[in-house]
Amino acid sequence: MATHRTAALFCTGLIVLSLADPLAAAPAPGPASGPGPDGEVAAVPIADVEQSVLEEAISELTFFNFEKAYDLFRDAQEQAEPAGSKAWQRSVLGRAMAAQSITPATQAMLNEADELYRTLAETSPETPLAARAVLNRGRLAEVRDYGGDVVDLEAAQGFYRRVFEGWPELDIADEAALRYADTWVQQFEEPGAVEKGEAFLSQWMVGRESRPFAAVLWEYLSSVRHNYLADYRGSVEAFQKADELGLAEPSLAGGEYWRVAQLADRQLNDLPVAIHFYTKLITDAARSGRAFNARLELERIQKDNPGMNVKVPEIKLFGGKDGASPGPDTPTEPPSPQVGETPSDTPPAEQAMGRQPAPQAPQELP
Amino acid sequence: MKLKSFLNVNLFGLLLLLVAFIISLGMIISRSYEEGNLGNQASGKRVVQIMHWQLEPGYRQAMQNVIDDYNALPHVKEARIEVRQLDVTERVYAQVLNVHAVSGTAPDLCEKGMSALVGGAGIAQFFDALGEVGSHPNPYNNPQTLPDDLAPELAKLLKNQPWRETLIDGMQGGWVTQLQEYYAVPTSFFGAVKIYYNKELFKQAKQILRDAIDAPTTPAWYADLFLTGAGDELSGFVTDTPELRAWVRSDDEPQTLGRMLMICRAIRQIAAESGQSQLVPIAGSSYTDQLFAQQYMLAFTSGYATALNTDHDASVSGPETWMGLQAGTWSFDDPQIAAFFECVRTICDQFPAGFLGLDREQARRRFVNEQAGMIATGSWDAKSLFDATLGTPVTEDDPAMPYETVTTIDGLAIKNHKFDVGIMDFPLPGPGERWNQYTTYPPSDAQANGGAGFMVYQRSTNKEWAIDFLHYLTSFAVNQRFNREAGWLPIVVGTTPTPNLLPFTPDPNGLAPSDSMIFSGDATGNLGTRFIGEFKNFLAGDLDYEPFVETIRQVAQDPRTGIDRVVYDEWLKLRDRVRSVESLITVEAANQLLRDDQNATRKLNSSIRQSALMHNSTSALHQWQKVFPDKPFPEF
Repeated sequence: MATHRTAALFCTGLIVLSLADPLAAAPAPGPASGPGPDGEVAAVPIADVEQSVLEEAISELTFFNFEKAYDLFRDAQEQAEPAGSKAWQRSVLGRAMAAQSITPATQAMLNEADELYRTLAETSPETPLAARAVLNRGRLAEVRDYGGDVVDLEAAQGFYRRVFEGWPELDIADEAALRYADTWVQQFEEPGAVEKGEAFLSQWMVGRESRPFAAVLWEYLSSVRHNYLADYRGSVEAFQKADELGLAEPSLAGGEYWRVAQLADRQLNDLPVAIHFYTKLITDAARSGRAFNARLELERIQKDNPGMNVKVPEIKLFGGKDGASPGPDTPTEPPSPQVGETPSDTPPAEQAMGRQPAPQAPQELP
Repeated sequence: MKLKSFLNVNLFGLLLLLVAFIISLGMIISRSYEEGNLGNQASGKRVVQIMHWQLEPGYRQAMQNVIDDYNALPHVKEARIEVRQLDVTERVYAQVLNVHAVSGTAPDLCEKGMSALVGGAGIAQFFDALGEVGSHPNPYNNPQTLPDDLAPELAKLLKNQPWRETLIDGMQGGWVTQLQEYYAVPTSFFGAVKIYYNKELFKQAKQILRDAIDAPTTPAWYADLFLTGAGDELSGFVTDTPELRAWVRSDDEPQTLGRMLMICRAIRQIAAESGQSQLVPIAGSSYTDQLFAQQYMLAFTSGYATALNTDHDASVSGPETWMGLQAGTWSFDDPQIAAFFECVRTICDQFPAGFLGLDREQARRRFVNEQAGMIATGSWDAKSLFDATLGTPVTEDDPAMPYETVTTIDGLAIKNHKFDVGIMDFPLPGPGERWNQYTTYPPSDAQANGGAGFMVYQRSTNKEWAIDFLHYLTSFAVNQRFNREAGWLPIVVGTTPTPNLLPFTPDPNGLAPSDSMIFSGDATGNLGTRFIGEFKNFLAGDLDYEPFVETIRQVAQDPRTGIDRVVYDEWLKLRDRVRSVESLITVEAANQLLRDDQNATRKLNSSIRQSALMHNSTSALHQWQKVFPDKPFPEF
């Protein structure tokens, strides 16, 4: 009887599902793919088939479908023999990249990726793909891909050196130099290791200050000099160069502007630099959430240094309470007092909060 | 007899199966025919489906109105496109999305969220990146659709700027950090959490306070509101000043915590005098206590941010907070820390007894039934709260039933009006009030992002129309109307919500929320879980401060699950993150080298930056060495 009841329940479930799941009942039509209007599939040349397998493999790789991409690249590589053709180079690199990225990682897959990179670099050393292959061998040696994986910094250094010495004109050489320097920074417990990495990268930058990857290198140097070497002046200078070139990740600029402004303000007493970055935080990175903090700092500097003519910009966000572009029926509020016209001792940032001055927040704890 | 039994049961089952099959087949044939998959394809429609879990009152109808308008556009009709919405309850949304995304049958547009599938880098396997399309202007923001009285500067911005720049969060609500890409287009804005209050009850409370001031003998409960004593003997919240008395005599809402607590005490007095045993000052629940704690945490603990943020990333993390305890950067004995816990507990004392057993809906019901003076929640609950308290206009389509009460307000017939609702910020202690010396500023709303973001399914065959509909939904006039009808906040630059939602307009004036200490969540593991459990017991009055602190100290020092474990686990996560960023670098390198994609270089550089600054996960080890120079990194 239990079986019969189960069967009845199953059938009822089927009805409910068929009624309740419109997705299952309504497959979207697909005019953009599939056969043509007459239902015929045109004959496709073999070369195009190879090409389409390769393109599909690349698509899957860029969709993070590494296992599927690996299989497709393997097929594409087989179709693209003999070794050395452009399609073969692309297939081998793609297959190795997919093998390197499959999760969970296995030593067998990582070995295969390493071997593919090696083959590509030896067979076609003249292509930029070979440079990426050698650099990725360094990544395989350096990164801990699974629990018991061994980090081999010395081997990684060898691969990175091959890239920046072998292809110095390519942008990837700068990336390799960064990775090489970082292998020293990672050994921070060894006396002099961080200094060695920092010195190498600083030297590498000479004559390459404006290359496309330079902003990343300067930002990295700024961080290492601050966090590892307590070289605050060097950190600020490196960041200024990065900022002039354009930060690699503008959405994170607010945090970095704050870090450097605080360094200049609290550690170096370099008020012009501090004012520059506090101001930039308000005008260019208000959504970082630190614009109000920056206003408080600027108001303090303004108060302590009346001769410096410090301007404290308004925070322009959201098109509402402080918005830059209110709509036709946006209620307008009285304009905030301009700097220098503050009618009371209450700083504008505090007036904006609608409260009396609060006791100064402790910046550093005892 | 056996045959008869078999026939009875199995025949029923077979019949059911047959009926199910016929119904399913009929529906598929009917829909396929309608959509042109059967018969004359040229006459069929292309259906663009949009799936979401927003079942709040008003949202579905507002969405349907937009869909109807869109479907009626000449070029949409001409292309035989029809947009349809699928609303799925949030309880099963994740399962529906997962199953259909994997099986290749997901709707063309899906709301982002609920499912872990779309929570990280995995989203790239199923949904399209929208960075490129977001960098072009929205075609529906054009002179024909923009209002004539729009400020010329705003009109120019909407017409010419990239789509994402026309949204007030810059499309950040759809940004996936791991992939350095936009994967959803937010269509509404949520703003900050606020306090809704019952205006009538507040008036009564003010009157009771006025009566107390004017009474020949000051009532004891009123006298208890004023600060007396010191140290452990300190009691009361406010200082009796002319300004305070002027506020009591005014109709102004409380703008300081001390005054809000005066209102709370007055509401308790009303409850006692009128015998309303259910009436409490704040409709608290197990959901609300942490809302209050989060709102006040930053103001009390931001002073520690510089000392705690030992990796200088401008953000205090959970492990950094707990390492700070171990290193002596802060202590539960610090006056501002003790004051924070005391303050939040005092607020939770205004909740109903046993509030930990109450959920969000029970708190909402208590407020709308006039059994509480206040409730804390976000703009997403505004429509349901307003409809239940302010009532709804009597119209031809929605007439008053005989059992419903009708009130005339400003010449309009309103049914089921209960009371007027005000909205206010979480007030901080004012000058001369208890805890004022320990607080700084409230949090900034500057990082508030849009919500109800929609993703475009990678295998959709209607992508261009799906994006076209998103353009339409996020155009100036349509987005403003849609969100006003839904009772939500619009997201397009220059739009405004309905007047009663204006208080939710985010205010960037406030400290960075990332300066707040973090005790639970955010990679705090078992320690964070234990903390939150004990904290709730403390807030509910089941634990005093000393035993609460002692328990947390013991848990924090536990060699197996305490602070050391939190830091070690964080390092393991960082190692995973290094590898995950490595995959991102692989993909961008493939885009650059195998696809010759010029845009890939920017993303590749950004990802390499992210990877390099983690120093192959040794940054966590270095941070530990900075904080504890003589102590080896924990091993498990």
